[in-house]
Amino acid sequence: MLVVQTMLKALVRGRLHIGLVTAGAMFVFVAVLLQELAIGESQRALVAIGLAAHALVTDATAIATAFVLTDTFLIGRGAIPLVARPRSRASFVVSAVIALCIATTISSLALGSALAAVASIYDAPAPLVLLAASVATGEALILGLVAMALRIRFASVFSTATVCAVFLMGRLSGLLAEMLERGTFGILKPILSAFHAIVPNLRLFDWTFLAVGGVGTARAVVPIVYALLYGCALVVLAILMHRRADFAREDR
Amino acid sequence: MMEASSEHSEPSTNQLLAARDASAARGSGFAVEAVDLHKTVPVGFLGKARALLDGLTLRVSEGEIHGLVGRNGAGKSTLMRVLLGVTPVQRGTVRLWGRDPADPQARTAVGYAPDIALFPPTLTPREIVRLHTALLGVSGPEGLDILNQLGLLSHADRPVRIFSKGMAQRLSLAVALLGTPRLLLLDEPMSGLDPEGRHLVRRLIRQSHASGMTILFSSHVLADVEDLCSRATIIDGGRTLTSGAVRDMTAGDGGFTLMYRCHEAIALPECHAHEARDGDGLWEARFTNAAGLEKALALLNSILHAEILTIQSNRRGFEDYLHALLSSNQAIHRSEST
Repeated sequence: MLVVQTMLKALVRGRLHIGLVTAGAMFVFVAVLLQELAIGESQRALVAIGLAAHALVTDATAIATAFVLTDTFLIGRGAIPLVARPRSRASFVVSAVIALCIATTISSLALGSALAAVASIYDAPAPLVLLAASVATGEALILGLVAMALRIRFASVFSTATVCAVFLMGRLSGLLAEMLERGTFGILKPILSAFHAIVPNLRLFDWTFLAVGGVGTARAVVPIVYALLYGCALVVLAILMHRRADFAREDR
Repeated sequence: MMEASSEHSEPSTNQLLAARDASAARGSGFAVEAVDLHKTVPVGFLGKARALLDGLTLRVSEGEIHGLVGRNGAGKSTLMRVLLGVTPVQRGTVRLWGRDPADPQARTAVGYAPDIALFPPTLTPREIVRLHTALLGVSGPEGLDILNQLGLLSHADRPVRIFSKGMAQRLSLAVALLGTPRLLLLDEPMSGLDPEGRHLVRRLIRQSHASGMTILFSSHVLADVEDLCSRATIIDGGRTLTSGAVRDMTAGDGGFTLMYRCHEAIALPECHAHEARDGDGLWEARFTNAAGLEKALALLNSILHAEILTIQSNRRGFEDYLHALLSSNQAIHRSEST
């Protein structure tokens, strides 16, 4: 636990993390300003823009946190004296994952609470806003874990580009599923189906429709179980990659 | 590489393992044995293989201070990382007291200070030391003692980001010394240190050696290698050029050269080479030992018109030896490639 504690200290004192959370708070106030423009739909606009901003900032925070933790404690030159200690490499990866989950969840809930508080001022359903923000944490955690697994093996530019692509494809996974259902893709169909199965279904974590009073079924157990299973797979992948990590390669 | 099953060992277990390792080392005679190491890494867009280690061999006996010398890019830091078990090799064997360093338990008694001290910038030395002591399973006060020895106790609660390069280097050494390791791997420990810091590190290396530690350290400061190491290995291009006692490397022919002026030929006793250098009575005489030189000086002093000009020791410095070795290696490489 001391490793996790030390990682969290390093994160909390880092300016990047604080900067992103501050940016998130500013987005919430931008949502307040923009809702004035939505005649008759001000509450819906406030909640929709606020939750979108929350998701964007929380995702960015999780990805940045994953990169900082990986570079500082898992793969960088500075990590060598730590990794060379008589502990398994897996224990360091698990510690970094725990630190990532704690930091991301706290950031997400803090930002979600701020948004819910602002929503309650404008008579929007604050508990539903907080619930939607909490569910969105799952998306941030998955993206954070994808970023960590990629950064362990690849250069920062490639990792950043790939995790952004995963975010976009994950958000559009519903569209891809619909296309696969309706279209005929011939020999490409199995490939596209496999691609659809691998890419995280991030639509599961977008509960904005519920917070703005839309119609739909929302069962919290689905995104929670999905995030757990997908997250576990990513942690195993990260452990395997870190196990094979070669510290002679400093050009990453 | 490292197995998930072999984690979390209690201090008492560590001590037992260290004792067992030490006993194994007595059997083989080497604390470190790396034989015929080959390591390549892919570089560039096409991933062309570049050799970092190319058949390198190193043996470090228990209890010695061993110097690792070579140009930049010779493979010193890579070798250190291989010994730490964080860099796998494609071919060759590495053993620390007879055990594979990829096994975390083999590294229980190893301390390492990298060439560039990089710590999480917002953490303090106290927190860094606490983290490493927890990973080693040793007590907290020991870490503070080491910080005190290295003059860092008064800075123990300041973030590392405000540290100078020398202070960070000292912290790196403090971390390496935690848990009283039996083997200390120091990658250019004097790099970036001021004269006072270098003196401190030299003293620390001597103290650690006196307490029974085996030390392998790489350095570009050849005077430090000459001063501290009993043995050294010189590497270039990932290969071992030579390994042996530093004394032998710096011995030269061990003799003396005497230059004197005298207008008549004198028969000097115990002189193995004696020749006129110009037509104006300048002579050069070479002696294999000091006794022969003394006899010659006594004789020349007794001759009125003989003038002693210079006496030069033929003992060569480590730098001369290294330069000659690296130059000849480069020449061999050039001739091989043409």
